[in-house]
Amino acid sequence: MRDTFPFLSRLGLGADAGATDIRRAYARELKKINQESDPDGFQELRQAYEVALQWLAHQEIALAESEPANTSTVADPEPMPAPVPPLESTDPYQLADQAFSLFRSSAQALVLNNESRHQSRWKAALQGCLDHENLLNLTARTVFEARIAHMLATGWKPGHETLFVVASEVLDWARDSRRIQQFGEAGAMIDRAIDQWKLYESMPDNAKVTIKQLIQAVRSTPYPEGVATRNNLLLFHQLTDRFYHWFSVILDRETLQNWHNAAQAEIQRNGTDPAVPLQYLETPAETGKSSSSGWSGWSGWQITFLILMLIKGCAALINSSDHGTSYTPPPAQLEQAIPGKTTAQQRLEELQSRIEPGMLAHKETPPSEAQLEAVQRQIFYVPDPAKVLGVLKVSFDVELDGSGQVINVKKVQASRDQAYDDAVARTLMHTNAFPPGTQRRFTVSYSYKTGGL
Amino acid sequence: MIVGIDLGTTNSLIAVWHNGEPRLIPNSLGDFLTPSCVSVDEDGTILIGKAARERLQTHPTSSAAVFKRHMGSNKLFTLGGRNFRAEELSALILRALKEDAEAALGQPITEAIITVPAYFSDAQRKATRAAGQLAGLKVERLLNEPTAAALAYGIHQRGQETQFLVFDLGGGTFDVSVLDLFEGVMEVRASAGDNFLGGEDFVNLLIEEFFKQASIPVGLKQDGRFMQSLVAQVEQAKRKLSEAPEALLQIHHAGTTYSMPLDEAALERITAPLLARLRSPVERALRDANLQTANLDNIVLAGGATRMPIVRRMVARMFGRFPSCDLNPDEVVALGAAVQAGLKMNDAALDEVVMTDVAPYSLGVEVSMHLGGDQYSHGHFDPVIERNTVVPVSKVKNYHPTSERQTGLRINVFQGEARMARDNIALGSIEVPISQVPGQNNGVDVRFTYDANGLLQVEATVLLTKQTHTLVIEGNPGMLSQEEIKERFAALSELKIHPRDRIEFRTMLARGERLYQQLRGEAREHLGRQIMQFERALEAQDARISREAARTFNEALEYFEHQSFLNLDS
Repeated sequence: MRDTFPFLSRLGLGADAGATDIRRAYARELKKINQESDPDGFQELRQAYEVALQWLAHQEIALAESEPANTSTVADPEPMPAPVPPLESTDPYQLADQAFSLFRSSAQALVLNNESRHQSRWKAALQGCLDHENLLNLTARTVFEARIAHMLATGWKPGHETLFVVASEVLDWARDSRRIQQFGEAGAMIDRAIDQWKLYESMPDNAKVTIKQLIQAVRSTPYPEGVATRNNLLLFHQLTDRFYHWFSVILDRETLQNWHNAAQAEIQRNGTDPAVPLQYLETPAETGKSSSSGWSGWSGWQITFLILMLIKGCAALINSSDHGTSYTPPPAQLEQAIPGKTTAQQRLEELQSRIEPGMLAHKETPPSEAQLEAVQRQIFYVPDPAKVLGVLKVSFDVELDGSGQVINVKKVQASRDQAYDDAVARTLMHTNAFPPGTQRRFTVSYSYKTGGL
Repeated sequence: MIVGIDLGTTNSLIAVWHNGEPRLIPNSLGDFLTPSCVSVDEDGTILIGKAARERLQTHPTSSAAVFKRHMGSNKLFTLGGRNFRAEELSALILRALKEDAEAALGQPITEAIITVPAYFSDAQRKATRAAGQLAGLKVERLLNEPTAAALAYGIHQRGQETQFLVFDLGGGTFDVSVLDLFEGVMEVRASAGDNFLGGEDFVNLLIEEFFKQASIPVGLKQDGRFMQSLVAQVEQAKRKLSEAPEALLQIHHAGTTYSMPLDEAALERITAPLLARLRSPVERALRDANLQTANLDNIVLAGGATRMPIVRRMVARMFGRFPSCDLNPDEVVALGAAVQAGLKMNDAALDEVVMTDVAPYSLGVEVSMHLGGDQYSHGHFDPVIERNTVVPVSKVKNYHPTSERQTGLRINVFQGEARMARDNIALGSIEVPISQVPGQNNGVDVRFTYDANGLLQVEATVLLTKQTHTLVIEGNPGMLSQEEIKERFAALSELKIHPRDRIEFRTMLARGERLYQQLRGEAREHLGRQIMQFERALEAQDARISREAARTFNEALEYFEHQSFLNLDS
């Protein structure tokens, strides 16, 4: 057992362990621990068990991918006989289909009758379908919800801007992000759109008015080149990064692309004038604190809100309890073990593939070393000679669209120099190093060794 | 000996682990269910259970029920001129149950496992533990109700591998848990719930509808006595509908008779908003457990309200099959608590059984999100412990100030799932002074520790100085401090409780009084005479005479109860 993973040896298992072995070993070890008097020991065992299950899920996927498709008939387990007789033999997917086509026809009616701006009408249409007999079945309900998410994520149609708001509330996506995240790519996209919409909602009124006016301008001007004002183009340029997903849900994609091009052209012609748009967008640093007004004794203190820091991914999963690094598998394993397909994801992909065949059909390739290096070469950064910084390292979650264009970057680990982080983010946002079909999400780290150390 | 207690909204039960199986203990009336009601008698003695429930109708201002809903709040109940908190009323129930167990087992009871709704918050859990202390019980463990139900069910399946869902609709709360049973491990995969959905809400909706349909003057809602007898009528009709196709709601007041016919279809229509609310916790629990309905081997019903056919039908429709009805839904939670007591006492019969539970909601802090440049968006919620993480668990996250000039961090702790902190439940906050050194990590490590009882501890460590600050949830409304608990324990101990061995006769009298109020005309006079005779017989203080009189009186009570019921349907 020398060359097995630490999480397997904690369970007394070798690298050939299967699901039953892992469960059995966990059960055996669990019975030796008193959860209440030894919570640390319990948590350590639990983590070994969870990592082992993830490792196993990853193994199974790797195995399935390496084997030809016809073996799937062998792997298919005999379906368990239901201990209780099923109530209705109706297929939940069929039930969902019927309800969804009902929803589609009422949506069409709304648009035709020029009522697609009324939240109450959309609410009634959506609620009407949700209350439909067919959707009492929980599986059918989930499929129906997935279809709504997919409909919103695949491009704006008249009325979607209202449906987006209504669905977020009626389906509780706004309050419970896990509920929307279950719908794969479409869900992740809507989830971000909701975050961005909530961000907009939390802005001061004057900023909201500015953004609202811009959205109206975009909507009424599908071809902005030579028509839109310089202010609007620059404002669009500023906002499009921050509100990318939200805009994609509530605005026509072709129009967005036209605006993007027009804004780029405008910047090339005249350069940016950062003083114009940004002033509208300052978030209310002080007023946001009003909720903590009970804290009178500390009035001398500065704004005391906190910033969310890294701790993401595997390191957090495995080491979050200060147990040292005993369970860290080699990095190569880790990269795939965690973002890889857990059973949950498998299930959802299965669900999705039934919803939208072909959506998952194309294969994505991770970015190559050469592509990442190409980005590195494009980073323009000059360290401040007055600061002693040492080695700077920054990590970003990068999100691409199907064409290889970077649509969003999210900092997961900051370096000590904001300027460097900004430079890397800027480069990533504007690079064309990634070809179409590149993996849509990945994490990338860049480092820079400053002089003087 | 550790006992298991189901401290319910409507009824409470006590059970022990005995000879390798859980056993319910009857109260002095011989019932397993003790109504969670407290009443103060004319002479100031406290009545608990059935007698108190009878007096809800005859003496609404000196009786209380449904106080579990106010655990962890500062609501006061005034009974007979004395103020009680929900913890204190619960403590009186616990004390009565404890005495029943002591009488049955012949030994003092000092330790208990008390069940709470899985979705009970930190404050509500602490209040339940305080209630235990006030009753002189050391609470060995707070056990989630659906987990208890699962234990009672799973103990018969322990050799198997199975996945099942517990659907627990009690008097006041609704809980759902998804469980995985393998190799003797009972693992809760996910829990979800609604703290304000239970059988009592069905009754309230029916009352509202009754007021509307029968045009009962709205002013009568202020009449405690009228309302309590209305509640009793509606409950009776609701229960009757579980067996018969229709029932008639009827009540007399000031010479007018109000009535409303009720059948299943009407009940379903009136309670549709409540039935719809059953769905979302089920969906959430399945989602968090990564399961679809087809993966479940069984659906286990717990809680008295699952007796209602409309609820059962709703469950069947949601899952596409009928639920399992193997266990008595009223008793299953208490039985599970007794199994947990057996586990806690390391009983040999349970050697091969172990249970793990989860935190049913996310716990985290309020953060600001960096938008780029020096812009921040404030008030976001960042979970430290994600919901349905296996407990006990301890997790750390690192946070740092947004500005270099900042000299302190305020860590606001929240419970919930919403993206914005303000939409979640605030649990408390820690203020951490920091001094920043450029080029160093000026952040704070925030550690959340959630124990098996569902109680939270938060610690913040300043990385630079290694100073640790602990969250103090004091000053949080609705929480008693240890000193207050001691004071109130002493005060409660001075209360005069009706002696246990005489409660049976007292309960019969309370029932007689309630019936007297309900009946009219000749029947009423007749019952009045019976009550007087019984009281006189008791004054003789002769056990044989009392017993004989009680037998006769009981027959009369049964007769009149039947009469009053027939009267309703006429």
